[in-house]
Amino acid sequence: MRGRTKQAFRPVPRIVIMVVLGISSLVAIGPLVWLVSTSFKSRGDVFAVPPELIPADPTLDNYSHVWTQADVQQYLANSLLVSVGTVLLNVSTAALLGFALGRFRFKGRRLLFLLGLSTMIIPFPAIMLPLFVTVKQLGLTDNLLGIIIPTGAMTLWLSVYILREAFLGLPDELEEAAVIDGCSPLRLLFQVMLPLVKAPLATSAILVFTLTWSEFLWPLVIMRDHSRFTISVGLQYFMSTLTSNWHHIAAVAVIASLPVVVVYLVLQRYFFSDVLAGSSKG
Amino acid sequence: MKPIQRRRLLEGGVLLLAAGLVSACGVFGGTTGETATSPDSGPVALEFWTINLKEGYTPYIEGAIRRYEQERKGVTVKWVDIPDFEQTQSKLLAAISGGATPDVVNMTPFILPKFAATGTIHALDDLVPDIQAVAGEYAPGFWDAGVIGGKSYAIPFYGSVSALIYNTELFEKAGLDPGKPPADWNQVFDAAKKIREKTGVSGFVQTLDDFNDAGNPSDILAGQAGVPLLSADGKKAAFATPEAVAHLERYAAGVKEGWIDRTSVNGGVMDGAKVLAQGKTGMVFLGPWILRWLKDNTDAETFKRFKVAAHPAGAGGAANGFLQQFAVPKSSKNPKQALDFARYFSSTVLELAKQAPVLPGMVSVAKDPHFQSTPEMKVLVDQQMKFYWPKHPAVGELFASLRTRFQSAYLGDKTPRQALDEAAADWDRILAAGQ
Amino acid sequence: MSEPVGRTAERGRSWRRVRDSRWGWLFAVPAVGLIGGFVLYPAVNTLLFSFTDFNGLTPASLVGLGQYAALGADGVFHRTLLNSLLITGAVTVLLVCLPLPVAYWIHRGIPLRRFFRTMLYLPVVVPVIVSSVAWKWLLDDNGLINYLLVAAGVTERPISWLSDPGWAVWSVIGVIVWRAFGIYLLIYLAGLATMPEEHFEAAAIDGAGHVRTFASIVVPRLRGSIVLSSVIAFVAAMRTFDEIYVLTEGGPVNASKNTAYYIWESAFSFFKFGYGSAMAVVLLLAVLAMVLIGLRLARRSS
Repeated sequence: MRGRTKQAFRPVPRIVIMVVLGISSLVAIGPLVWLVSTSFKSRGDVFAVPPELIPADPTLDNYSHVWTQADVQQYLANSLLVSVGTVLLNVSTAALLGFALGRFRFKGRRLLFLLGLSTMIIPFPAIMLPLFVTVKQLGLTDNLLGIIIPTGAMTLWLSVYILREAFLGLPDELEEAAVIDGCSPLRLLFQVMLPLVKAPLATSAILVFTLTWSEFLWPLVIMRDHSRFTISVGLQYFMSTLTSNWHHIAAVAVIASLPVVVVYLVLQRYFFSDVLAGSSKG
Repeated sequence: MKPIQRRRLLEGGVLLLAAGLVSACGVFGGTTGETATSPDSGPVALEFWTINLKEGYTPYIEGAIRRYEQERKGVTVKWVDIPDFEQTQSKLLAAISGGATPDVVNMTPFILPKFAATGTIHALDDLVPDIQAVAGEYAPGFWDAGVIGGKSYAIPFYGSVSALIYNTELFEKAGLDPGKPPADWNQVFDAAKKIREKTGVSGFVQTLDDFNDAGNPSDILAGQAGVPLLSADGKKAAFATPEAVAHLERYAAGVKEGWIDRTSVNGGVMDGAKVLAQGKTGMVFLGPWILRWLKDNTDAETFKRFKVAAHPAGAGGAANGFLQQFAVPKSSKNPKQALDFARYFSSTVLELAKQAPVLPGMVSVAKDPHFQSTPEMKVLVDQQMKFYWPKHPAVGELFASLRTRFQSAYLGDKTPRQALDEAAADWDRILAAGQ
Repeated sequence: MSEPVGRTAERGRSWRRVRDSRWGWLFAVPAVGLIGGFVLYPAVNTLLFSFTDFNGLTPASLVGLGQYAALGADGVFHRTLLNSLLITGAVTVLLVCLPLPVAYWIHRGIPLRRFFRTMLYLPVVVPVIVSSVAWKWLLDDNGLINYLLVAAGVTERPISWLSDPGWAVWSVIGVIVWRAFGIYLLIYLAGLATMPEEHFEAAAIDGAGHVRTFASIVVPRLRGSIVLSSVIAFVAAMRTFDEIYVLTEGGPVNASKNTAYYIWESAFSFFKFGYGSAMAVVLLLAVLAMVLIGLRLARRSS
């Protein structure tokens, strides 16, 4: 990784730290292991006391059941479209504003920033009804854009905050050099600065993706057509009062989580790559 | 900050405010009250909302819709299923604000009164010449749950009523006769104490949620203790009586001593069902539909231990019921067709009942031999039932108050006497506000 | 929040012109449109609702400050404000502090670091409702946690994590911290990744131990990331809803009900939109006041 060959920690602290991390990891994935193991259980094993970690009689029936029931595949496709769309809208808009807030001294920028920041604490239920009316007037009630645009807006300042910090942190010499070259602000942004804030961009993207993926109230309220439901809404079909069969819920949950794991694994190299660590030095 | 910025901001704010006002007018003014009056002829498209029937019942619903479309040429039905009861309300509210309502919607007696009081759903009296003839087709108890202020607002779809579901193995271990389940609440409490004593697990779960046919505060007060919830004129709470206090005292003692399961304090219906499935409690009081869930979630050996019996007799004489109803929103363009569809759909419940033990709203359907075929169906059909909750627009708030006050009595923060008095004070305030 | 104001003094004229020009606003247009149309505009409606008795269904009438007066007398509302404060305070402190040393250990190359990094992030990827329901089962009186605690002899009787008023709110806090920990770890690791390796080398040459390196180099240099974490944790905790909805429904006896949940309950269960809107306004003002005081204090101390 970083070509560090010698150990940074002496043996005793190393062991203590590893024990702490090991226990934390156990706590972190304990419930998830339980979920995965439940997804392979047949109906009777779910309630065994004490719970079995490895199912005595593992089965794939739960997966085949939920995969064919209630349009799970359609829900997944919708969730992917919605989450990717939201990330694109959110991050591109936020990058522009973050660039403006971080690198320009236009009038009202501080107020704009604080005003936007304060919108983030408005509890969603408080604005849900008027928001519905707005989206309805735009004719987006049965359109995935009806989820993408409001969700992008509601998570916008998260990315704005992250990217503003990132642009603020870039050295001034960069833009001075660019201006001497006669480069326009647009080119400065796209050719010089954006490549340098890949890590914050990836942070925003991953956060927004995760938030959008598990949002369930708004997609449920705004979508009327079953073929437009997202996976978090679809999950509710399996979790509601009359149908909460845990071996099915667990299987859907695993299916619903896998894409987010993949996104994380794909994006993580942007946080941790040496290239990045190197480039921001200069 | 320079003054010029501040002025800009002010201008912006005023602009936003003005825009808000304009849109607010839309919300305030243009949403309700207008009955769309296009004639019920020509091609008609209906939108139909159900609650949580997609998982498991899709073939039934789609088949029934297809048959209807074939029978009534020119009518198409678009089906939307909402995942859970809780969310129906949010979705419906948003839809009504935005003027995007369905034509037929599945409701429960918990939200119907509010929609009736605000005039956002049709009084069915206005849609048919003889409402009494229609009413005659349905079980009177079910129909009555939709009658508010002398007008009928809902077509009963299907319902259920609590029964006693118990674990025979635990009964045997506690030295109780599994063939003779408790028949009244004194016996329930005695059996629960025995189970606790002999087996170490709790005697029963009675949760305080608003899932009507499970245990809930109205069943405890009105069904079990036999006290009326409201005064005769409907303006005051009437449940803070010595009988109710005595009954609640036993619940509080049960939670404290452990023969009533702790899950009863803050859990929901399905939490109680889970405790039963785990073999950690002796009895629950749920509708027989829970058998389907138990069967799906326990192995065959465990499932055999569960038996259904009649709901223990209470002083109120009937068990609290649970009902799904159909209402027709005012904004429906084809209300008469919508009502026709609702009545049609209610007549198809036999198919649903064959998959899960529920009661049909229609008398003619209930006569089917299927409803005598199994013990759990018999329990359902024979049970006296009543909707104890007031048909008041603020029923949700009334319920929340009882739940909270009961909790404080269970936890020992308040004596049952204080808890009931405080709940009654809440009710008097909420009822007076006339929401 | 640092401003690049001072640094521009010696800049060339042409660049200053660009920086002070309207280019900034031009870049801001899409974001302002988005937030204005889909957050602020509905929020202004909410503000207007708060002066009415709007029930979500029928035309409302103005009641002036009636809803606010009712809030003043509503003990449940006061309780929810306190709970919001408690949840937000605890969640923010825990989520800002706990991942810091972990990020340091992982960054400095503890063995198996990639494994730990991934394990600790995994809770983030499971949809919130699912993980919350899983926790509800684990925390149950008959659940796994109590089973383990009793088996290990830590407690004689099961602890009622969700039905004991003392524990309920802490259970909610615990589940939030469990779920979101990975996000903050990620933020810190991303921050550390941009930190030049020379700092650590210099510290090692100075003979500084890990504690000193951590306290005198990592924490000050990660200030940006720490502030970012605080802001994100704060706003997210203030809006906590899903966990309460699934775990406790705000009970028992309102012990775990926060204002966001109460707003939802008032509006969508009780049809009191005017009332819920007034709560949102009060909450927003309270938080703004807190933020401004916090900023003032931060400025004074720096």
